[in-house]
Amino acid sequence: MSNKHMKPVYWGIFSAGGTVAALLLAPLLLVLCVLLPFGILGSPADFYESLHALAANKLVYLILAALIFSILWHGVHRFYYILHDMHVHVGNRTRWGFYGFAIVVFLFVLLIGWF
Amino acid sequence: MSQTITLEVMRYRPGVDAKPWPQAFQIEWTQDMSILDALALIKDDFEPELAYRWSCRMEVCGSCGMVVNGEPKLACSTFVRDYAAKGKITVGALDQFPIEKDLIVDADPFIQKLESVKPYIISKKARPLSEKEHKQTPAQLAKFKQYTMCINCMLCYQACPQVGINADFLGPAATALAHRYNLDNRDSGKAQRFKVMNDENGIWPCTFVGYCSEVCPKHVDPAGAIQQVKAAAVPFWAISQLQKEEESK
Amino acid sequence: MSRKPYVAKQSANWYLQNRFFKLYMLRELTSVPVALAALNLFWGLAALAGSAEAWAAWAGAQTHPLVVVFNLIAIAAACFNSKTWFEAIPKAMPIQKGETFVPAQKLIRAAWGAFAAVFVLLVLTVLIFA
Repeated sequence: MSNKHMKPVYWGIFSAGGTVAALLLAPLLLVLCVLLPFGILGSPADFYESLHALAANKLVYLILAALIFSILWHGVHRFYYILHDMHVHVGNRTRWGFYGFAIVVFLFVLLIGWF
Repeated sequence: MSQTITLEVMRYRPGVDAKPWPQAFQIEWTQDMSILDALALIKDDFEPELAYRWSCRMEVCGSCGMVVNGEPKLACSTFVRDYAAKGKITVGALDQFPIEKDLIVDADPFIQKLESVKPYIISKKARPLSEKEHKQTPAQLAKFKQYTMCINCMLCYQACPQVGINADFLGPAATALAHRYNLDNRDSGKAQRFKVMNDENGIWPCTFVGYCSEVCPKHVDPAGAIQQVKAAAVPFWAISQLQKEEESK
Repeated sequence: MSRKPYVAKQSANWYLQNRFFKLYMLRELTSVPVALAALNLFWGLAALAGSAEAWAAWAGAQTHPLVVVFNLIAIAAACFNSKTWFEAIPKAMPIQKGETFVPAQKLIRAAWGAFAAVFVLLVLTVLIFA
């Protein structure tokens, strides 16, 4: 019997990401990815003018990126389990491939936003 | 005027059959007939060798769990009349357990899982009743009462696809039972139970499919219990990472 | 009589066997558009913190018909995730009040209320700043 595994961590981030996604994702996608780019609530250029400085603030950027990271982790964690449910043979290597991808993307986005 | 229906029973005779096979019976049925009654009729009139478990006939003993037209059900509280339109009822064993004969399965894996969560009050300092009683308010009882309702019928284990994928998964009923004791104000055994539940095959194979709660005849909601346990398990897991692994079990 | 238990194997397409399992798989499949939408949002965030050209490129890309279709699918998937997630809240986080529990419907409605508040806040933010 072994408690030496990391599943509570994987599940914890998945849970946080699921909550973030449940509350924020649909409104974010509708407002920022559909309505705004088509100019329906305002102009994208003005949006940039007003909020660029705030988004570029290192702390604000970190928080926003962390929120999106939790959604991405949620997605890849669930996808791993879809494969598992469909009897596709996946183990820790695949799992860490997925989580690693999410972490790498997060770090990359952090770097290009900060510097 | 009598009505007939086809009742197909999955037979399995160890040493005779390579795998379960359907045996069909045409039976006359009445409005008050349960699947259990139908099986008794078949055993009395057609196939005396048919083997199945039953006892109370009223949804409290948990003996008659079976799969009826693909759904985990208690035979005593499932009625022939509800399948009249379909015209055919197929009854099989809870085949996510090893099938011993016909509709009888080996419940040992289930019993062992129940035992593994130490399903009894663990006191910090045991004392006799004469010394001082353990008090419990109605509100304290309400906290865990739902999880006391389990009749160990194993329908939830049949329903759970994660049990199907991994037979070592601790599973719904055992987790709900552990939760029942963890929530009881008279108990101090949380840490011991979480050691079992935080095993890789403890609560962590659960992906909240939720079908276990859907089929539970007693509305225990084991799926909910597992999610509550997952959240509560994290601090115990964190502490266990700092402790050395025991050479146990 | 000696024992010879029969151990059945789970069928490879168990999740197609009943409506409950099919809906479960649909719920799980929302993870694909959700993960892709997160990548899109990462790009948008980096663009917002980057140059005006980068932002214009991101906003422009969102108007491409294929991207619009993807975003609409992602919104539907996100909404389905919200629905199933909120329905799970009363089970995963029961709130006891005396000898009873807060009714599930109340918690679910409160969650949708928070969702609506987020939407309104976002719309206001864009109206004010864009």
